[in-house]
Amino acid sequence: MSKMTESAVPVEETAFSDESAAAAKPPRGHGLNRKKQKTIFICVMLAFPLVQLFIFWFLVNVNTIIMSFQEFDWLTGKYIFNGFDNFIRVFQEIGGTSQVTQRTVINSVLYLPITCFISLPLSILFSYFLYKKVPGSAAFRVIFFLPSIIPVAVLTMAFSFSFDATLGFVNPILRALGVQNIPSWFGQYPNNQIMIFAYCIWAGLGTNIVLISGAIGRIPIEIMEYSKLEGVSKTRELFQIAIPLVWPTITTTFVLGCTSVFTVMMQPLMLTPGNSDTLTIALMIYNGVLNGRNLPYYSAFGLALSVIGVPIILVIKWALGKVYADVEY
Amino acid sequence: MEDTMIRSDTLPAERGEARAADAAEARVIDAGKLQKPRRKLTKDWALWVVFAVFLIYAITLVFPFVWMLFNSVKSNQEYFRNIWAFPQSFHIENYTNVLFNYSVHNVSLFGMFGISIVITLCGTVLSLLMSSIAAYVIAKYKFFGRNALYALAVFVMAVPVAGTLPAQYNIMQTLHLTNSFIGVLILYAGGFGFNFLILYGFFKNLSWEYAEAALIDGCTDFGIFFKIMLPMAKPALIAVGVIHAIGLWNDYVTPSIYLPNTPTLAVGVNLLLSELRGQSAYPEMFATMIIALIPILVVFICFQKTIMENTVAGGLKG
Amino acid sequence: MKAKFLRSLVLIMALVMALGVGLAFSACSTTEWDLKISVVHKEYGQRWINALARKFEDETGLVVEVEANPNLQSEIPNRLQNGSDDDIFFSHGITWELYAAQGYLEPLDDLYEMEVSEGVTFGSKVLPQFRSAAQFNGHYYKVPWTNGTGGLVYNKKMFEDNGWSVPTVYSNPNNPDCDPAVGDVGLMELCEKILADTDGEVKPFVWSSETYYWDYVVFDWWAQLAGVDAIEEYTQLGSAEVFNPETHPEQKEALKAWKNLIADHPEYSMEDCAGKQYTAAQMEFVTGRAAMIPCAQWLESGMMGNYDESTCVMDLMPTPFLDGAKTGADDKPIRVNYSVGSTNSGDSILIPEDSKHKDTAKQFLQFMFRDDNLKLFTEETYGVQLAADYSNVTLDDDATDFMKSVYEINANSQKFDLLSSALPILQGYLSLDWPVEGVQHYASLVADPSTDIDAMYQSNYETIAGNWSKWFE
Repeated sequence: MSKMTESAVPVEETAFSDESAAAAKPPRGHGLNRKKQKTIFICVMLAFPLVQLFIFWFLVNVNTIIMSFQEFDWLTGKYIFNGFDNFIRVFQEIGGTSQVTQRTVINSVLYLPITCFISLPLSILFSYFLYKKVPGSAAFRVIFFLPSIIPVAVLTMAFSFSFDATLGFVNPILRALGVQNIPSWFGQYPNNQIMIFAYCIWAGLGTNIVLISGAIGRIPIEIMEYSKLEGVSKTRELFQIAIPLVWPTITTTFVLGCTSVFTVMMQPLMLTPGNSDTLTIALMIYNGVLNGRNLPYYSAFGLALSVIGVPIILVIKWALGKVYADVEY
Repeated sequence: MEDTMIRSDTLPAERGEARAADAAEARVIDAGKLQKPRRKLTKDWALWVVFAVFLIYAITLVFPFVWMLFNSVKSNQEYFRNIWAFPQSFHIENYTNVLFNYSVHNVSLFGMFGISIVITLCGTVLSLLMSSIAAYVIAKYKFFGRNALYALAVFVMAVPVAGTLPAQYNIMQTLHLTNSFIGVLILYAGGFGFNFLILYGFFKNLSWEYAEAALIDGCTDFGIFFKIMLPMAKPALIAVGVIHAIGLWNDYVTPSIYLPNTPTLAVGVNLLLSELRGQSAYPEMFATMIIALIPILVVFICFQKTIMENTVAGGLKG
Repeated sequence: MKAKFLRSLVLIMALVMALGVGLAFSACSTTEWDLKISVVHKEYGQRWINALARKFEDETGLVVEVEANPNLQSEIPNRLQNGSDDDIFFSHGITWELYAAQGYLEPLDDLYEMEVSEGVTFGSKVLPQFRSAAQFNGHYYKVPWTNGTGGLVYNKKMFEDNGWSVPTVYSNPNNPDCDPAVGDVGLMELCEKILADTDGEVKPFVWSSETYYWDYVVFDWWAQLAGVDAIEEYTQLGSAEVFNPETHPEQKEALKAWKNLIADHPEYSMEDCAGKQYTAAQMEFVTGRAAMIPCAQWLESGMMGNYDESTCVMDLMPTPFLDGAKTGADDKPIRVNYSVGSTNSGDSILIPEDSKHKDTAKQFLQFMFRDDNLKLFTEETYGVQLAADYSNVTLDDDATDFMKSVYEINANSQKFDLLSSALPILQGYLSLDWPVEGVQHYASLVADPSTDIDAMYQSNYETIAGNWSKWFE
């Protein structure tokens, strides 16, 4: 660890040849060199990712951004500037002129509590107990990750078939248990949306469990041994030791759960195809693009909601960051 | 129940010491037990309850997989008659047809498998590298614009990206990157997506003291990153890497557009599935899907231990 | 240690395999072709295009490359805008007008003038109703692809085994035993008979959450009441009046007829059809648990090989006549049939503007609309018809009942569609099938049969009338 590999600035070599001297007082010019070294490091490291982002995300999307301020003129066959008309229409539709759009946004926003306040806590709990080596943990870890590997088409098909009124096995079981009025699972709103949420929770734990387990796995063993020695109860260990220690990872998965409001698409598409009651933002845009009509409107739709949503997400992230102080280990 | 975890990379002598320490510890715990017997019962009880919950959940997850498995050897008629019945005859040709007779642009399934491996491996490594670089720098170094970059990353994740294909294709065309492996790998080498956000959270937790020690020793920032931080990040990198690799393995949109002549497994499988879906040939569809997911399952089983167990020692003591 | 070594070994083997493949592949060159046809590969399969391509090659000696790609639909806009090597696109619903307006499509005026056979132009082979909808700004830019046929598919074997007759009218209360000797057989009475004869074991209908299949029946009823000309006028969008439920109540009445049959009689349909997957509905039908399913021309080809003929032989019935259907000169109700798939812009055959083989492409299309090739297409798709005049085409005797019925219905019904190039349609503000936004009402009516349909139509009309001037400015 004490071996020097590359040295950008020769001056440093002489400056640190005497460790005690370095510890005692920084040599002259150290501050500037350190800062310069840092700047070079940051610039070099970030160069490629930023350039890649610029070319393959920004330049690609800039067209979409421009298009959201345009409309297609059927007379000239060109896209012409129309100011904020598209955005005004977006907000009018969400406000109520289009029931479909309004419901779409509501559905999408509801994914936030589902993902962040149900799925995520469940994932944390599951990860913790897997870490505590519940019997069969090794098998469970693989099984819990299965939904992330099995194609969405199969999972949704199995899920739908199970709840089919005549072909499925859920209804007969419920009837045998004495349940009288079994609802139509997918036949009407809000049942179908609730079933989609249920599916998302059921199938969505795997990835988060992997991530949070990875984070918990890094907690130094000494801390866990200490808590065992001290007879700390599981609840305390989970809530007062494990969670605070992996808080940045939890924050990140929370933030990702928030972004799911904008990106959930496959589940409603597969579970309720062609249904306009269970649309999400991403699905509505996808359908609109496939259709090809009024692309600028959908560009504006996606952009407007992202511009509003992202600051909210960032505020959430900032607030979450304040809950526990950053611990490093 | 194993109460202490023996690190896998320790020397036998150390392990002996550790065992002695365990024994000592056990004696301490035993002493503790005499005074507080209730805790052990509570501990066991809680774990068994959780075990029951896990078992039920696991059964519901395994069931679609098993269902797909035993339906994959049925004939179409059998499947349509009863989707829940156990297969009466085993139509192995559902598998052999796909494995040996299917090809796209004269590339067999095994060829597609090979292409997928190359793309997935290279794409994952590149993406991990770029993401961890970006995440590390933004998490650990204070500089003007770091928060803006983080906000940008969140924005990138949140903006739904439908409708950008023509623009993306246009740029790739201008750069002469269509129809090349390099082009696809560059597209995959993004540094500001899902991987970035996870690794950012992870690096935030990583103690700067390691770097301090190295800086004093005269190590450069580059050295710190490649020799200290990256190795420390191994569990997170593997976790994120496995998830990302699975995503790349299953991605068919990008390869089908930018590698039209060298189909990946996902592209081939997707084409086959669509064809089968048109005929409602579900058993063959299931067989195809199983063939496609076995490699992923194998990889995950191999790596799950590394991800989820603590195999990296705390570095500061050493 | 061992696991790691094994892993590395597997990786190396895979890389070698991949490299081997890559090298082997790069060694072989792509053949040059004279024509490239790209097809959105969905329910019709690819036998038809392969058969047509090979036949064209035999006749002309040219080389044809076929791409049957299920993802093509989302790629077509990209390929049109950024250029590609395709010469013909067979596309499902695409707003082709958008690409025509921007100059990405080759004008086809000369194609329509070309002769398909002695004295018969291509344009005259294309069905008139589709011909007018293939023009934009006075030029032809597309060739309509299919003339879809839909309605109630029934299990002919089950009907014959039980002595049930195919209904010809919606309801005939004077004929509760559904005896054709007594008079017209009513659909509603048939439903009662089916339940009675099978003790409720077999349900009359099965359908799915993809409720738009009911459109194929309900729109036929609409056209029966309004007449095909009125629907044509509707698609012209002369004024908001065409949506006024007081002056144009026919679609509303058709929907009410549906509600009367299905929503008000849950016992006529299998349990919870609104929540059923489409595949599950198909399964119930072909295994004989339901007698009828609303569907269209692709059902037989899609289900081929999945069911036993001892349980199901499928056939398509002409949509039974509603009370009040318009009658012709012979005082008999006029047969009508909705061209499935022809909503808004319909399915299209397009030639990109930057195609390098435009003449060959047009030659192929001209070839495709020849009578013998119309027949080939229909045979290879198990009954689907091109949007062409089939009067000189006869099916072989070994064609299935289903294929023959599709053919018969197309030949003897007035076909109509909901194609329109009016501005609000192109801009996506309005949908002609279910104004305003194209949302069907079937599931909500089943959930709540007491929904006030009159109020719904009135409210939609007011929304449309209110926005009319804004949409057309």
